[in-house]
Amino acid sequence: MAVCTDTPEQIANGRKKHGLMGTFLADPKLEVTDLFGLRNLNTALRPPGLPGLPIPTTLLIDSEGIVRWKDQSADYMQRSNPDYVRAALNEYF
Amino acid sequence: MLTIATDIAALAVVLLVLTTMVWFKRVDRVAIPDNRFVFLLLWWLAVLLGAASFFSSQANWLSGIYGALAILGGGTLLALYALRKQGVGEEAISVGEAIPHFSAVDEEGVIFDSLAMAGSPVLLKFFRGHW
Repeated sequence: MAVCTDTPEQIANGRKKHGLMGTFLADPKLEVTDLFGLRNLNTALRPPGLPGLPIPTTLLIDSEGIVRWKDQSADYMQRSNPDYVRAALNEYF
Repeated sequence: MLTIATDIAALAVVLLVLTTMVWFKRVDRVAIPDNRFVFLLLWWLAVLLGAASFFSSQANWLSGIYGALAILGGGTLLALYALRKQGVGEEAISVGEAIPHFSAVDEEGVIFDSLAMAGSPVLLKFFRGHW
């Protein structure tokens, strides 16, 4: 499941373009992002029309709603490597 | 019109365009190399060659345009690179904490409530969307 700042229309386009699967939630006002405290506080690069951007973060949440694993980029040019996430999935679930 | 200054400036633009194309091709695949030294080196080289073309005694308007393009483009990419660090807040969720209750709409406008996640493990990603 993913949360991003795109509007529902942009999500639909992105899904078509990149062949994405899973549930995608629109969070253009960063309401969900802020609940998790994941807004990027470095505001030097803020895209036009958006209050800010989330820090790219991957969370593994157990069936009780507890965060079991977290991977966060210190750098917006990095993302969680799929193999890295897969290894964490195998370890925790 | 085609002088050594134009050659240098044109080389700077070609270097900039090719390096940037490779970079964005890899961004699109979410596969930025960990070692970015070569990209940074080539962008710097484009800026320096662009600047060098201005100091040539054979500089002309064409070399000026190419040179300015290389300096502006390379400079912008280097600036974006310098600003890449993320500012993490103290309230950021940590391992061992319960997630907050939230709701948001999906791409079809249907409201998703986080209570629906209860009872099964979830991989949740926050990402920058098309940015």
